[in-house]
Amino acid sequence: MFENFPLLAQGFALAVSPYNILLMIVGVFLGILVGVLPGLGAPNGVTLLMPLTFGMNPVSAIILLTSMYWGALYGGSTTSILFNIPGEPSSVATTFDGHPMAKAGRATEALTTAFLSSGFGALTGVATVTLLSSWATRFALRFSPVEYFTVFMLAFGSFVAFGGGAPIKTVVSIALGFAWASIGMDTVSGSMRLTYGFPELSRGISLLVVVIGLYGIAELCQTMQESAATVEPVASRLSPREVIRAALVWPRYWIALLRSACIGIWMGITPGGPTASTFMSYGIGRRFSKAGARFGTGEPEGLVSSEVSDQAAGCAAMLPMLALGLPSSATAAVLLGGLMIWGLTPGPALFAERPDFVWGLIASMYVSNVVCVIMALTTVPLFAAILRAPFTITGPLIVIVCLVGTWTVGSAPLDLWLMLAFGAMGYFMSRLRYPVAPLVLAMVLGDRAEDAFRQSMILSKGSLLVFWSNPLAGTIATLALLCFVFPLYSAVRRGLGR
Amino acid sequence: MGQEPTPFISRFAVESAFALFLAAFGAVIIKGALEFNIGWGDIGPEAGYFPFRVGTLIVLASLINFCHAIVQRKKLAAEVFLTREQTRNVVAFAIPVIVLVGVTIAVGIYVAAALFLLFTVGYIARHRLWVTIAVAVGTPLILFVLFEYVFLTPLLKGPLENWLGWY
Repeated sequence: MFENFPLLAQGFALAVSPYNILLMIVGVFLGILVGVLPGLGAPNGVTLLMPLTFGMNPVSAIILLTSMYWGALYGGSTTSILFNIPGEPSSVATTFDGHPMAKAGRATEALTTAFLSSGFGALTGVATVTLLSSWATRFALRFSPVEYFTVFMLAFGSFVAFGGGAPIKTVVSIALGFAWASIGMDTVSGSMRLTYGFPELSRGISLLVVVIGLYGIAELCQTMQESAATVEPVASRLSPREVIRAALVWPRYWIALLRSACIGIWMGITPGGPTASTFMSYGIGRRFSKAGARFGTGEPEGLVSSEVSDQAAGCAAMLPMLALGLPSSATAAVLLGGLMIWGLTPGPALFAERPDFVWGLIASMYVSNVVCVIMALTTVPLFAAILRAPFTITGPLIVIVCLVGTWTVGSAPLDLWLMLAFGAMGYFMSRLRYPVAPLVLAMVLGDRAEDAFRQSMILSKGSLLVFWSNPLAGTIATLALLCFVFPLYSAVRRGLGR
Repeated sequence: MGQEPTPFISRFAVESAFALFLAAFGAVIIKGALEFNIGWGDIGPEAGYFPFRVGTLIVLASLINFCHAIVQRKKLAAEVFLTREQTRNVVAFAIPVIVLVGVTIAVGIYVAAALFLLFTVGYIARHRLWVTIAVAVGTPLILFVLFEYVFLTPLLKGPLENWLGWY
């Protein structure tokens, strides 16, 4: 477990250069910005920035993009607390106690508690990644296409079972993602699939365009739906003395901190994702904590519960992403797409071939989360001011950012129309509660899942029983099957019963 | 703005229509997959195998969602999807954006962005003239410097830039 420390030290030597620290600060700043602004979030913020990193060296590129991700998680908390607007789906649970605290004049305490808790969650998440990565890669090295396919199915199954959406709608989302992923060249036979005579479609549909449409345009549409969404400003000046006072009280929540960190790490490593983990952590806190009865009325422990698990899950999600190439959140899925564009193949081989990349990234996560806590606290007044700028100006500007971002992906006019189509699609999907994250995951994993399936079938000469041919694959396959069958069965039964 | 919101489109209408739309989309995927062998070849599943099953899954699951909406017709029909005001807001947002994409392809991103911002900030939101001009002229200029000189990622240009000597 501790053989990773020399590697981590090398990672620090690589990540902590003035240039990379500057990238972290830029990334965190942009991340907080997209986290604060409605209509932009971590997945499409990272997406919009990605084309600009194609020319950078991969270590600096991933530092910039992951810093943006962490920053977005912090920015989402700021708006949740001050304005009751969750900038990110994973900060919804933060509004439950954060906003009542701010309204009661405890905004400084709420923000300090939230940022320190986020920082704590992040550090436990990264520590987990550091300690478990060697073990996880050794585990992953035993994987053949058979095991990979079962793990992919378990990832999708857990969305169906625990994602919180209607199971059948989740299945539709996953299938849509697979369908879009299969457009373009078939990796096995080389034939052009589902292009319907459009030569532009032969290079496939870019994940980045889909994300900009589904998250960016769709979210803008939802925000625009309410005319002049007025935000109630809460005092957003931070007095240093109150920050220190809140920081001194904060360790008292150690039980909640540890409990929420464990939940977050677990949900981050298994493909539960940050959003599900915040709700789970909040729910468990409410049931088992002594302060549980006061949850929802401005109880700091409720805030701690959601913030710690949010960041812990976000950071721990890097472990399956690097070791297995299995992202457990929409943003991780986009980052994974970036790895492939930079010419890196995620998976156990990445640890052996590019230790500089992997350990540089892990080391940067420690540093950039410290940068996050400091920057989040110091930039609160600035971002509160940005939020007060009328949305009738920021909204159209975000449209232009999405347009430019889509163009930089592939310089193709068709992409602009696709962005609109996916925007409309995303609007209806989120209004009708079709979950979007499983779709993004399916798009990233689509080709690899299909390849793994076809290779497994070649190995077994067409028998599906190959997925039960050894204990490891069999266990995962059975779990995956249960994840799909139970919710669907009960949903169909409930649907017909009415 | 004190008037009562008028219900315009019910959740039932959109829920069922979207399910049918997705079912039709699934059918298009099936049609695309049928151009290839959807069964087994010498090297395992052929190119059409996976898309065909995915398309079938979309059709079946969407039809279940459609039936589900029919079963819950009463409850969903009472739920408002969009009020008249909200519909107007969404349309007022969507149409300029659609036009923006068309105009971008014709005259390039910089000019289209300026026109779009003039229209949305100045005409729709009725901000002051100097605010409108600052946003509509400043944004394309900042984008131009950033993308053409800093990021070295040229954006789409049109006749105006060509006439000024940029390609």
